[in-house]
Amino acid sequence: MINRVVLSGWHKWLSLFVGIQLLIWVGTGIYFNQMDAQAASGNMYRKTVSHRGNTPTSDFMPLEKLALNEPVVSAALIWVSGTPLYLVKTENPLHNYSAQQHTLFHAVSGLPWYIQPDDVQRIAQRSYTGPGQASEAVLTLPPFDFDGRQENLLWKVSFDDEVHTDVYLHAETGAVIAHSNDDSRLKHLMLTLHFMDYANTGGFNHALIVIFAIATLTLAGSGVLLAYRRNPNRAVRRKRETDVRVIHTGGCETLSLPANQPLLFALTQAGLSVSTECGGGGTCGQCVVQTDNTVAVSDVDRYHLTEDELQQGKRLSCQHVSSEFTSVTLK
Amino acid sequence: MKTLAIKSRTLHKWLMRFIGIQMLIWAVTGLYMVSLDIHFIHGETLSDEKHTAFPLNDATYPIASLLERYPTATDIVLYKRLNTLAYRFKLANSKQWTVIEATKGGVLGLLTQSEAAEIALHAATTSGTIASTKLIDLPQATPAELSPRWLPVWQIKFDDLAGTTFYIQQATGQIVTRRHTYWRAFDWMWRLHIMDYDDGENVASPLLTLLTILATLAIISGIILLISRLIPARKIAVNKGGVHD
Ligand code: FES
Repeated sequence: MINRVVLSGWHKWLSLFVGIQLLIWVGTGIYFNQMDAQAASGNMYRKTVSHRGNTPTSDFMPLEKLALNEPVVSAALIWVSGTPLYLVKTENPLHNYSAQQHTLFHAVSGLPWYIQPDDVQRIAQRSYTGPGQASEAVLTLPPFDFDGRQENLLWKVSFDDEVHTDVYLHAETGAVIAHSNDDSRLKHLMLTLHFMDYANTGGFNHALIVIFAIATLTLAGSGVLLAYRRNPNRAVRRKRETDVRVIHTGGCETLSLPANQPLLFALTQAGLSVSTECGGGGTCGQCVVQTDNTVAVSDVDRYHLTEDELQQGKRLSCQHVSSEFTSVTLK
Repeated sequence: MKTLAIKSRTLHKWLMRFIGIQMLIWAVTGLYMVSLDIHFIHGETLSDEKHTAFPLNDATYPIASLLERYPTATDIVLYKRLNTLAYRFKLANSKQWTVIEATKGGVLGLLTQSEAAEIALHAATTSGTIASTKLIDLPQATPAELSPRWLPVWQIKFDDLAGTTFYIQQATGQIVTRRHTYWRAFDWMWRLHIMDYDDGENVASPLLTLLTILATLAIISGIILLISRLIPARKIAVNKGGVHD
């Protein structure tokens, strides 16, 4: 059996290391549990934009005529603000946030096509239902406050509404990637705290949180061992109270104490003062009392007290229940 | 300070006796989730699709002809389905993909079992062999690890240690979902973490509310106890000595 004092020592030092983070985890956990998912999405003023135009489809240039010699993995027909385009990908990353490799061609002329800031601003406005005025579209470098994983350049259009909406759009196609506002920024902050993602990687696979998770697991494991360990000295159930003669600085009295309660707690509740730092954890070794009757020596007693002291009848009052004593002397 | 230590210890101990097991579960599941790479969990290492590249000028059937034949076609994409260059697109009022080949324009039927198996073997990075192939086309027959929006799909199971499974869309031939044991374990870790034991989609359960509030109290009492253990109570002990005199 692992020594209780050692276990309790581990528990104390680990909690010093992870205690505040535990509070952050559970606090942000309460936020996720209670949050309004609709508001936290940032999409308060978002609507979908239809881009389809009416260019006659018979004018579309065949894909085989495009001036592109390298092998491709896909070519799609897309519409951007009424303009038909071919979106050709030479690589197919599994995530949209990964760096993209693709080129746009005008579907009728077959010439390379580039979006203009005015188009971007117009698309942002069409995706927005709120009262704010749009700023100019600005091409912005990652990292972004709405998703740390995003590796691509994005256009940003800001609206001067009450929740400070920012609209992020794809650098080449102008597709709306995200709406971000004060509610979604709060959620992002909570995720950052929960994932300890202070480097804004957008994820939770980093060394800092792994170290904290290992420490937390050890803390919780030691805690469970401590919490469910029974005091072996419990008296039989039917005996609820026990009489103990207590000699203290103010004199001597006989008290009726709860039989199954550790003596330290029983004495404190009776208004007597016993010194303690650990509050009954068996780690500080301060709650010493002296007794005349024989009380079995526990591991914890032996840890804190010398053989002489044990011989004199000294015991730790937090490690023994009241019914083990008939008479005690307090320091 | 002294009674504060005793009170906070008592509160800490009793609260933790009620929720200690869940604290341990949060710690175990959290450690599992942060220590395994999420891209690995999502099965991104189970397949690679580099063999799917093609030269654009193989696409001799023009999109203009496609749109003449199917005027309501949207989401048109030129891609390689197994060994055939093809267009996939959606038609108005249909959730399913239509696929035609991109050289002559002939309609491509749904993937056969052996074609699906071939796609899986081409893409798989596992050294295992295929243990079973099964067509899943009914929402009620969809396993929990697959979203019904992909149906109909071929389920291809490998006999490797990780229990690799691919889901290949029957019309397009695309591998839409990749699963293995580590994902399945992750899914359970997540459910245990958020205390939603049926489908793992609800972080707003009242049970979680109760446990997180109790946990907050337990942690705060623990922190108070920690502080009172770190700031020595010797001063108080000395004062008591004074009384003794
Ligand atoms: S050892 Fe600290 S109170 Fe008993």
